Amino acid sequence: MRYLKLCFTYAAIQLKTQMEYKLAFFVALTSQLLVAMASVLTMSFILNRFGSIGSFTLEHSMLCCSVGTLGFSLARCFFGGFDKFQSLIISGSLDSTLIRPLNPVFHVLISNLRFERLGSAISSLAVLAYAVTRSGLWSEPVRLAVLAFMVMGAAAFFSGIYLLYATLCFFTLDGLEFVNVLTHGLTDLGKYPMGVYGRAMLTFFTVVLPFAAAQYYPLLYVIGRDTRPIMALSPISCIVFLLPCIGLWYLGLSKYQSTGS
Amino acid sequence: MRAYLSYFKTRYLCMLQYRASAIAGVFTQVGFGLILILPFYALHRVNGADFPMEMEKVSSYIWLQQAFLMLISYSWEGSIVDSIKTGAVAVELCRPLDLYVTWFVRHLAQRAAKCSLRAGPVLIVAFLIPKPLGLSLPESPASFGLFLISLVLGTLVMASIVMLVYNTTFHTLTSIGIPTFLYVIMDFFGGQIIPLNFYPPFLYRLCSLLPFGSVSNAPFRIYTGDLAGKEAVFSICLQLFWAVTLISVGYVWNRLALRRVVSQGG
Repeated sequence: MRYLKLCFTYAAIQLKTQMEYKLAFFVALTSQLLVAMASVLTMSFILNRFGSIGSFTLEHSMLCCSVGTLGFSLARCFFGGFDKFQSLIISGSLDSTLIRPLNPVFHVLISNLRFERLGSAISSLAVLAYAVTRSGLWSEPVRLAVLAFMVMGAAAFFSGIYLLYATLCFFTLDGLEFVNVLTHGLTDLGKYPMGVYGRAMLTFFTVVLPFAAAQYYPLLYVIGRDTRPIMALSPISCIVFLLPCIGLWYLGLSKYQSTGS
Repeated sequence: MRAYLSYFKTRYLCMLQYRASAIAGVFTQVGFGLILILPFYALHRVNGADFPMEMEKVSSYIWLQQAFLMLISYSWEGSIVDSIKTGAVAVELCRPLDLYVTWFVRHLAQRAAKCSLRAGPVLIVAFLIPKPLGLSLPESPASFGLFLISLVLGTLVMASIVMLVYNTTFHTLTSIGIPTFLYVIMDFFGGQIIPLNFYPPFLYRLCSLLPFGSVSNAPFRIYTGDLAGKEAVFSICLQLFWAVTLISVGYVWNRLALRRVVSQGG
């Protein structure tokens, strides 16, 4: 209960701070929105030209793409503190987190909300609504719920990646550019259902990094290709994936020696 | 002239210091290359016959894009924008050098240095990846020669666009706005997301005529032989046109902006 109240207080304070720089905020928000739009546009160019990728049509890819970018932008907004974790370590502001009577993950989360990153969420939501309309899914509450569940799964998956990245930062004390391949790159790859890339890729993104569990399998359920309940429930594995990531982060924290002054 | 050359050399050597970040960059670039190629490969298995350019050419295009990313992708130096904001640019103006040329040379040196650290390893890895996912040899010795000319021109066009961005800072005094939006505009209209010939015909023609299409679209497609003969010569002439036009506009604008510059800060 106390945590919930803190959530609102922190969110309100940060929104207020960002609103002090209105122009900067809206420019950042709009540019995020445009980036997501450009990505959907190029995808639609390709699918309009070829009709389908694998056995998936434009609507299927749009569902997939918007769910992925929506989840990613939520993770980027709420887990923004872990995205540039090296700067928290280098500046020493992580130390101030540790002396507060709060759960450290929670504190890093709520003190680094990046609302401007929701820009891509706005355009993804619009694309998702469009794709749902075109696929005629509005009258199917179960499938809509599965879509929402996919978004949560994708958000949990990318949050897990950010936590893993932050864990590495405890040891390297520096940022690792390669994480962009797993975040921005994977969102790019996830514009299309993961099944189109062949069996090896699908297995990798099911067993090692369960990204396909948030988009490919539940998508099969949503479009009615495979109606086994397990397909609809598979985003759970992304949420389960988050647990060892949090565990590893705490392991990193236990080895942490302050660097800041 | 000698002053500008030594300015280039100093800046180049200074930027070469960042080796560790370049090594990390090589891994990132290879990762992104694979990620960008995979959707095309998936498409190719079913719709290969309808491709506007062959699969090997798409792969080569994407690998060149990754290898020369630092040369041809949009980026600007925060320190120059800050120097306008803080007034430090006044110090630059005391030197017996032209501000526009100094900036231009400095920017080129930065691009060249960053690129020379990354390009080699990325190209080697890309050559080792088997066909049709790897980088192929250029279509012919002639197309390789044209590619080099076109790459240099593309870099000049890119740098001249960035100079225009710096010039806007004299009026807006902030790096927020135009510089930020240009990232997505350059990526979309320049063919950084997917090669331009996968766009609908009208948009494809428009983008290749705009200055954005004269940056990386021309050299990479000349390398693969996708643009050859007359078409290749035409796109190189277009690049030359944009380079000359944008540089002149930037130069004159810079002069005009400096005439009414008010130094900020103490």
